[in-house]
Amino acid sequence: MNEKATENVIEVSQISAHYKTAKQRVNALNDVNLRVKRGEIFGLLGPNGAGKTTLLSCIQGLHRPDAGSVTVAGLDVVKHDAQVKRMLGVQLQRTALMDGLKAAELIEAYAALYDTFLTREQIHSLLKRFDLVDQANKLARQMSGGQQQRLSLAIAVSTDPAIVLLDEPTEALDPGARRAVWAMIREFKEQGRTVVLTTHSMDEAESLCGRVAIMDRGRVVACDTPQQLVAGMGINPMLKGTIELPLEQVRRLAGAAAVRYTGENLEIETAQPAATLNALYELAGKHGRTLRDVAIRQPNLEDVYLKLTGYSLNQS
Amino acid sequence: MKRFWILSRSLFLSYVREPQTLFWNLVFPVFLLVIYRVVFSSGVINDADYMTWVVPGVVVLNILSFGMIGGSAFMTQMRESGVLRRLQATPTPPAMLFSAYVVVNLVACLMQTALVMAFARVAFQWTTTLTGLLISLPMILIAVIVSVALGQCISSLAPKQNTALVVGQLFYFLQMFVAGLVLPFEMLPEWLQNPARLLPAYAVGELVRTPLMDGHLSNDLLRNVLLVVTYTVIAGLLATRFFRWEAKQ
Repeated sequence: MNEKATENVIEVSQISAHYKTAKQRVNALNDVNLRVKRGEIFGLLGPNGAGKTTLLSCIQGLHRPDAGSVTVAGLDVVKHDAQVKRMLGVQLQRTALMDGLKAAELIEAYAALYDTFLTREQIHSLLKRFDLVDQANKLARQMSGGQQQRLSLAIAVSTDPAIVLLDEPTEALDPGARRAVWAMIREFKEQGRTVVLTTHSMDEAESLCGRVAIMDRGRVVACDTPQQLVAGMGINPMLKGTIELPLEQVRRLAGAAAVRYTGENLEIETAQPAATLNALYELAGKHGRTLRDVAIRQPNLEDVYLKLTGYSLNQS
Repeated sequence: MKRFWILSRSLFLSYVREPQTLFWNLVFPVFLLVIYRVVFSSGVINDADYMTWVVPGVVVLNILSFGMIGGSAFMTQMRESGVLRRLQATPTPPAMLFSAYVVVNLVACLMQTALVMAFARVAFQWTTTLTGLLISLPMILIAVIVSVALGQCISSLAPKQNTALVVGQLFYFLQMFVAGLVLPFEMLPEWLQNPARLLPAYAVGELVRTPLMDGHLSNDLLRNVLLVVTYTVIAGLLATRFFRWEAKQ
């Protein structure tokens, strides 16, 4: 990997930020530090209210932090607001388009706001790349959620930005549309762009992101590749099956670290899943029982999140 | 300049493609004219027939409706749908965004005014002089500016689009009946006449009506212009002070 490839393109240093609701002041970010490398897909993972959107807003220059600094390509976001915005392709959490405009008009208009004046051919080419040619003359409000999201992505890259910031890019999309958006995001990386996205979906973070920052209540609680995060936590695989056996005997099985019942399902945390499974079959045979619905689940970001925060993403 | 042009065109298109906007700003004023004609067909006000008198009033009412109801609701809707936030994320300076917005309001208001006058001319033989028309143009621009300022003040202060709509309509209908635009001022009880003269609609009504009816500037030009400027400055300052890029959470 050469020096350019590892250069930090976004640096977030000790930022704290708040926002106000009608009722209270919310401390959205507390002393957050981050480095995003050029050319990577970087994920901000956490539940609603973790501070992901506020952090992204600080990077975009839309939210001024109370303390700390954010630089993009070496430029301070607050001091060089317009220059920084010019480098960024942005897709906000809600699609937020002027919905009385047609797809082609929207691409032309938003590109113009960055002083980029696209030709008809360039607009057509963008529409084609994002599978929107048939929607070119449709008003944004007449499009489906997936089409609007693709249009929003087309707008984000219409100015050929080096950095693309995406806030919940697949929220509320059906699985097919979601995978289509994932493919587009991977394409951004292949084109050499740096992508920062927020998500509360584990599989999205694991599938797309080279590195992930796990956020909880305004803090970054861990930051690394998904694989390193999982490996670094020392979390064992989980062996699951449906069977009724005495727990004290199951605890003595080879490799078993922790054992519990969830309803009828036996769950065994084990460092040696194959050995534990064999021993479990033997034990089941001795008791004349049949082991059903057997599965071995490798640890994932969900387990990392649970271990770091004490609650699961789905509970939060 | 090209950026400004494309931005203005986009705002204009998204504005006129709202069916409600088209109804309230193009169809409704014409409908109002027809109603007034039917109800007050034989009326004479200030030695002029009712239609000659009321057309400038409807022009002003329409401008007020455009700025205080339509324009304010359009801005709050852009805020609530996240469009303003998305515009803020671009490197375009806020001053350019707002200038484009004002230009769009001006153009749309002038189009509506032309439509109302043309309809009155064709349907009711309404006439004015060329001099009167030319003198009224800057007065119409003044009316648009104060109306946009009042509308933006409402949109900045109102927490939600519905509130902006209700407050805008309240001010609009209040002025419709007491500012001497469609009902003669003399019909008001005496105690109401003096406070009503302080309303912006009264001042712009006088500024626009006198040239269109009599072909010369308003007799109280300085007083009316000062009143309108005061409203514009106060509303503009409040709109700027309380402007928000995104809806309150």
